[in-house]
Amino acid sequence: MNLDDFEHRLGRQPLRELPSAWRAGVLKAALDATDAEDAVGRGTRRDRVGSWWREWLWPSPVAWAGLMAAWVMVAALNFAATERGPRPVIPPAALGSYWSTQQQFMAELLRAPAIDPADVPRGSVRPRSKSPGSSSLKTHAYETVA
Amino acid sequence: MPVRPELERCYDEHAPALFGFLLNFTRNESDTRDVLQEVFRRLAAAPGMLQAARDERALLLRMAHNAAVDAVRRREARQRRADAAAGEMAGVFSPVPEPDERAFRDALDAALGELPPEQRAVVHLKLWEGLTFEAIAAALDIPLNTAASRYRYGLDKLRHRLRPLYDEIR
Repeated sequence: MNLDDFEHRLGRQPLRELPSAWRAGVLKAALDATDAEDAVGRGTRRDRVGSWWREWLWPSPVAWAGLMAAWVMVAALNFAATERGPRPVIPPAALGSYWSTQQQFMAELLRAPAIDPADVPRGSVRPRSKSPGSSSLKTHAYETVA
Repeated sequence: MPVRPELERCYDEHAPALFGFLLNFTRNESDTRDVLQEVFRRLAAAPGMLQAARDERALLLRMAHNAAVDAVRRREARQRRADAAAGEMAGVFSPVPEPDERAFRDALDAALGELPPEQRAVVHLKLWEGLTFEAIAAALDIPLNTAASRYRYGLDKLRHRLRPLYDEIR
């Protein structure tokens, strides 16, 4: 049997025709479904915004949770640091006498010549000393001002 | 662009071919209608899809094939659960009064039903749509060699099944 003849014979068999009654139903169903989807879409703008946030945040929830935990820890430590007491406030007017007191105290410790406060430029901020007694000097100053 | 006129044009131009393909693939008229409806629902929801397509027929055949595969799987699952018989097997060909021709068509219809769906799809597109293997491969999203081999195996089975009747009425 010649294959080409057989193929031609098969291909000549007419297929059933599409029922004409289907046209209206198929098109109506397609357009009705689209109208319904449009109505749902218009009413869920908030959902779209919410879904945008979810898409942006959700892919890595562990990373976001870790970042939030780190911020909470930082905030907690900061809060705990301020809990030790109110931050002492040094009146601006007392700053000058404070620094001169510190200089004289340091001079006594180091047996260096005392520095005349008049030689110290106004508004200058001396670098924090790294000498062993510096922290106690601060305490001493707070006690003095308070 | 208004959706409805474009959808109607697309239906009038392509739905008959889609109907033939879907009926042969699903072997079920109800599934054929459901899938056809689904294809046009998707087109109505995304009208830009047609405008962007180089070949509308190929795009629609691909959409129809994908939807038909899902429909067949759902029906087979339902039939397994219900333990029911094949049920509404649909005739694919137009009825004809002449008895020899009718016998051949009935036999061809049954033989096509015995083919695996994927072979049947390729055979249909080759014989009744006249597509090349390249076009068939693109429509069904399969390699070119796969399209050619499925056609060859399917046609061999049909020839084996229909040989006696073909030789008799030739």
